Amino acid sequence: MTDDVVLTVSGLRTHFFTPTGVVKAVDGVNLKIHKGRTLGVLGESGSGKSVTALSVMRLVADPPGRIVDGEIHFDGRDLLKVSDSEMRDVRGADISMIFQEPMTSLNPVMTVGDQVAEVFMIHQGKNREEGLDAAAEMLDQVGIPSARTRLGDYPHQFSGGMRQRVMIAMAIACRSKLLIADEPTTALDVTIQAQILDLILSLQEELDMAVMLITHDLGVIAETSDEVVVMYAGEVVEYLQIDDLFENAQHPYTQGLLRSIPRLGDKFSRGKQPLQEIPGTVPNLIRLPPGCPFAPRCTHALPKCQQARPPMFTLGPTHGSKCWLSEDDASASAEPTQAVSAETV
Amino acid sequence: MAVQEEEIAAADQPVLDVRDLKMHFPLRAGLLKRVANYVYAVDGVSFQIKPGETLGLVGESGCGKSTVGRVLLKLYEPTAGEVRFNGRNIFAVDEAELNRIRQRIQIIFQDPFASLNPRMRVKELVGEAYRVHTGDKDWEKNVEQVLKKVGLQPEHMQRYPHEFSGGQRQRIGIARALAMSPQLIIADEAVSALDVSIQAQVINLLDSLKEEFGFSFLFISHDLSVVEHIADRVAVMYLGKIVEMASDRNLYQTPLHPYTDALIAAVPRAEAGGRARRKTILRGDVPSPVNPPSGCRFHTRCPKAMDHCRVEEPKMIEARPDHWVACHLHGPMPHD
Amino acid sequence: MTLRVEDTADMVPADGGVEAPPSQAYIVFRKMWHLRLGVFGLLLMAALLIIALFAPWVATHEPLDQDILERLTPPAFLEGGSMEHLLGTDQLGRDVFSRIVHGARISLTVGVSAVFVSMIIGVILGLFAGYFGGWIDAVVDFSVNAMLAFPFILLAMTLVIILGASMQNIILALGISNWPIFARVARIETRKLRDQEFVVAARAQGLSHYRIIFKHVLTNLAAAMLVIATVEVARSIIRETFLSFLGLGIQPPTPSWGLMLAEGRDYILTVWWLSTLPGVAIFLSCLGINLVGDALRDLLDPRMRKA
Repeated sequence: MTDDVVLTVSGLRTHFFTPTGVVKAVDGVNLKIHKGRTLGVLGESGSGKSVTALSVMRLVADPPGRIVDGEIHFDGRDLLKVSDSEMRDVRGADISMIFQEPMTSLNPVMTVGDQVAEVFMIHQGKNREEGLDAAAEMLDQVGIPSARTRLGDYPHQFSGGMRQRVMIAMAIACRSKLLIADEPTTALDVTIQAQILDLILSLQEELDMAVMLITHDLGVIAETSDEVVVMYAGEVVEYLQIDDLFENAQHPYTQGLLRSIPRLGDKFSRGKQPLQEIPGTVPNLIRLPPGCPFAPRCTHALPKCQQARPPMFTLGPTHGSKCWLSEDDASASAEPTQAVSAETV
Repeated sequence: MAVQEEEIAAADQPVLDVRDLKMHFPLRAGLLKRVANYVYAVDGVSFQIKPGETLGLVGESGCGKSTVGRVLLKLYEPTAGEVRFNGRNIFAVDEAELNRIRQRIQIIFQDPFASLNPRMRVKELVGEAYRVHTGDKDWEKNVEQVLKKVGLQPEHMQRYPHEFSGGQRQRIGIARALAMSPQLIIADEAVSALDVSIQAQVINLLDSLKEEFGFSFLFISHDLSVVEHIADRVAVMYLGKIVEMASDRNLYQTPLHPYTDALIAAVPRAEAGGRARRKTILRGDVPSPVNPPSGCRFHTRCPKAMDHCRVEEPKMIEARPDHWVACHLHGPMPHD
Repeated sequence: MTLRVEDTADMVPADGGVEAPPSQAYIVFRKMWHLRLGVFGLLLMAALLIIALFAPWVATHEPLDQDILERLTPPAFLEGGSMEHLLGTDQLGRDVFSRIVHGARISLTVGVSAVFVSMIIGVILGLFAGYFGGWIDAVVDFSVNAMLAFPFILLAMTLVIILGASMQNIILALGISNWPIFARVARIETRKLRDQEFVVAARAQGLSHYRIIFKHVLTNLAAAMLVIATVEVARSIIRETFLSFLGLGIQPPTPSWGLMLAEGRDYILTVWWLSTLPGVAIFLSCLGINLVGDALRDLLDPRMRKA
């Protein structure tokens, strides 16, 4: 494969062992992220998108969760096999993560300056003074006005958007190769969201950083991602390029999502029509039905769909759909070409 | 279950007439809890809703839209202004009358988990107000009917909220609002906490219920796409004030206020070619409603701000037919 | 390489690099362990209840029957004891076992009734204070803090001295001196609940304050109050013991455990069972109640968070 691949996830399974049963939050996920490009992970709650990210960072709470299978290749190693201390070196430095709620991901009783400086102190061996210097530079780079004077402020003295910028500063402090952003703008106002997304994209360009952007918002995906994987009930059900997403989505779930969102302007160009909803609800991950997990809600379901889980069918060098309907379209050769692909099957 | 006639006057009298509504929350500080400052959450808001009409109220956090929703039911003691429901000022009536009026106005809340009493069965939750206020012995039938309308089954009546999914709980909330056959329903971010695929279901449900029952609808949300879809008219709020108000088409296709423009531009579009098209207009943070800027509140972030904007607060004027805006860039329509 | 990702829930990892999941048995065992202590506590409490309820039938003798000739005989498991008096006799020849059995009745009655009294006073005051705020809140808050600062025993003693030492008065005294515990928590929880959306929803529906307080808020308060109540029963039993020990509690010849402790004091070096055995009874009862209270808290907590 091309050697600008930064992260490869193969066959990842993360299960949660609860008193009521085993929740298969992630059940066989493959994905690939390239240097300098953004992989959009599209999914709703229960799709396993966040757990996938946490698994990559090995931050899954154990108990009750546990990565039971799979490989995560980064920088020539399988992250699932390295020691705890090696993983700690990777976290925050080579791979960093920002979360949805900046209020709870920042320590409320530590100054912002100290928190950012800490990253430098731990990963680059700087002392506190040097760390604070670097922190000021970092905060400035992420667009916090009067950065140096704000080093002594606490998280609650910042607005939501500013706090997210602080998180981003901490994340890129060590010029990470991969930034995982889990719903980074969902809790922010739309005008602030725009600024934060701009920031992430410009930093990506500047640092040639790979980004894994997890979100449920198709609009955010559209404006940030190069490749997309669509997740449902713990699996990747479709992977494709961003333009394919809007012009050629094959999986019924992806199509359903695209049709069910209200879009600005639609009402006036086409007249008001009811949104095309996806019937039913997300399945219980403890008691998944046999067959395709989306079958109960799928308007195109075949009898076969309730009985057997479809494999991932390759539809092109960069497009695959885990759906029996795609079986006939699948390429005869399963060998992906040298073109950039989002997933290894 | 059509709207009750008792309080309807002329067909074109607005159901809701809000006049210069103000809600300032005192901030207390110090040992003696002196009032140090105020949060100017709502600072002079006026609008009307006609029978059967849906008004969308949009804005970002801190703009005061949720506060407006709550003050309309006098869940807070208002600082100033009037709210006329079918012509009567609800701030001027006694507690008993207020509780009677509250039966005609219902709210659907944002959080499908927190807005239902976890210790009550669905039957009780949906039917309590109806039973208490009407004393109808057949109240359970009413509950059954209403649950069917929102797509739930009679057997759900005996269950507790935690046995349902988020989307279903929101339906229960809608059923609760509907059970009283209200004239006005206020939806406060009613679909914001739902998954995308469930949002569509609930939006469609609300639309069909609107058709069937003919209630007026105040739809409060930060999601511009949803509001465009569901509303007939839209009002945009910023820092406690309405900056623009117009029909859906006029507001979204020809916005007049720079803030509305920026807001619409900031919404990410789910279309191909997205990344190249990004255009972020607005810099900086939303100022705090504690110390709003002088003059036009938006002038600190406005790309078209003039010197005058810092000095004088613009009034709400009708710049185009039934298109109101509070901005110095726009003058009133010429009169013949 | 084509790896078809089929449903492989039972697939063994190729290189066994990742650990196997914990077995089902292990999960069940872990759940049982948490309940185990609670079950043990429940057994103790059940025993206490049965003994208290059926005291006249469980006891071997009349608790007040004196038999001077049989005084100070040791318990059956010691040398010199007999099965006639399972736990020996006291200085007046009364059967210790029967007195402990009847004492259970007294202790439980006093403990539960006292908690009842404090709970009713405390919850009502806390509810109103938390819900309405304002001056009601200020007054209740001040009272709670003032009373909590006061040494409990002084309060109880004063009340008993004023009212006289009968069982009802002891219950009243214990009940009245303990309401702040309930009020404090009820007030804070009510304040939190008042801002919850479902309470706001109830107000928005035009329901009366009283309905909201007693229907919506109170039902959500119940769990927390129950947990506190169980612990307070144990504490009330101990306090009754203390009062009786001081002579301000149950009066002789009624067999209260505290009284037995006090009466046996003079003989502690020789006829040690007179004080020790009632002490053991107190210990076991309170242990049982506390364990059940703990288990209740664990049971109710996560479910409350889920709901």
